Amino acid sequence: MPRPSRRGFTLIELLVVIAIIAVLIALLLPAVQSAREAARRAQCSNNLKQIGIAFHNYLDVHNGFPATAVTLARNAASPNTQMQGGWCVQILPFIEQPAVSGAYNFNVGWYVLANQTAVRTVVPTYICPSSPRSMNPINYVPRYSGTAATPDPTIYAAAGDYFTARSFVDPWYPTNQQVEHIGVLDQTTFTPLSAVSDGLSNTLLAYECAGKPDYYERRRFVHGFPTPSSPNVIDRQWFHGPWASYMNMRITSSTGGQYEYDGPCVINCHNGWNGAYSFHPGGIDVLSCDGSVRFLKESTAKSVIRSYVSRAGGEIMDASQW
Amino acid sequence: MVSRYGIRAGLVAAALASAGCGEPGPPKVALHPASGKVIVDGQPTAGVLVRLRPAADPDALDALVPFGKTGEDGGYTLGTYEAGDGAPTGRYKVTLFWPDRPPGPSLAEDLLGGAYAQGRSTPLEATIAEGDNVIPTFEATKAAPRPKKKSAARKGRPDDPDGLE
Repeated sequence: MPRPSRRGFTLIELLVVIAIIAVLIALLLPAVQSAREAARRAQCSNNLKQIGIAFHNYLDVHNGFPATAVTLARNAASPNTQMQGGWCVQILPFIEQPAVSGAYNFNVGWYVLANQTAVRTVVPTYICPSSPRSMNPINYVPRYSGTAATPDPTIYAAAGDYFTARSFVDPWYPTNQQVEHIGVLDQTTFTPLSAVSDGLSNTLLAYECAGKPDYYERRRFVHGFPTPSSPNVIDRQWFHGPWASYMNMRITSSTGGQYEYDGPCVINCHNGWNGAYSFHPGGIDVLSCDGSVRFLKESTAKSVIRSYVSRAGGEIMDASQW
Repeated sequence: MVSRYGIRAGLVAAALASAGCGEPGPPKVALHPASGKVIVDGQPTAGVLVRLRPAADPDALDALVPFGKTGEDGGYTLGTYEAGDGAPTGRYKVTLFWPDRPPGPSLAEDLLGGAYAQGRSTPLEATIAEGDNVIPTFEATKAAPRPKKKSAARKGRPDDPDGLE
């Protein structure tokens, strides 16, 4: 009795189908990942946009952009410990965080126990979603005694990823020969718009240095926090990166990481002191003084970055340079 | 045979997938290996930053500036795009800067007193040619320690909240 012929798939055919499916998945997965990163970047630039609107609402009320930090009358014996709250604290009422703002006491520093309720609050507007760091507040905030500081494991602060540029410094000359191209915010007083003589759309207001306090160099995780053996104080104490702190840095170049001086790399080199760093491929999000947000490519020339950072340098900026 | 075509199609798809990735960076110039040595007061000195600035325009911000950092034996190797990858040919003014601390909240003092720190005023020069380069040894003198000012000055300007350390 002849068997009914049942033609099925051969092993080779099955393997080929599986291989084709594997190739298709391999094509699709990077696309999905980059779509997710694109969504995170959209949210990140939206955060900067919100910060820009908040700065302008602050400007309407106070007739000037905020100082990078509120400072009280200085005690001559401890000139550096009177810093009470950075610009992120001052614009809180304008990013719909009046409760956090109300909980903050400007008469004492952000690092003291009395301000823990506010400082431990995670403010999503200050965090770039591409940053791999956990959202939880981080401890080892320094406790000051005069100018001496010891990291305190019982004091926590939530992180922020956005900084203002105090200046652009490059090349890095010795102290007595230093040339700084001053950024928009003043460290102690309001900045009126008239001080930004290079033009609001040609001057940097805020930029990303994401992922602190974990330390990265060119997409590579180097070490976590705290790292007591590090020569850099920000790897031992959590005071440069909590959103309530002064979130203000010089921008400079590097030959590599945060321990190196001027070199070919400015953007996305490292996220240590003086870094400009994001987890977006190819560059960082930046906020101009006019409230617009744009993408600053890694390949942007130093002279363009310097013109962009300086608020009254008188440089000519050409749109084709971006 | 269908399966043979299937395999080929798969290979073509994989080849297409791997091609076309990566954005070309700015064009890079040819580099040539270069190294040298820095001696301060007769001693090999670690941590001196060596920068080669173009002799024609030492202050050009966007110029390629070959860089190096001396090791324990006073020797350094120049890099331009990455550490140690070499230097483009040309004539250079050489600046030396020996910072007393890594970059951070406070600005560094130059242990050489700033005498060799600027391209316009440095007395040192070097030329990079094709092939392997050994730059003649640079001899520098250490600056007399500057008189210590008040503690506020050491920490930066008195109105400098960022001078926190």
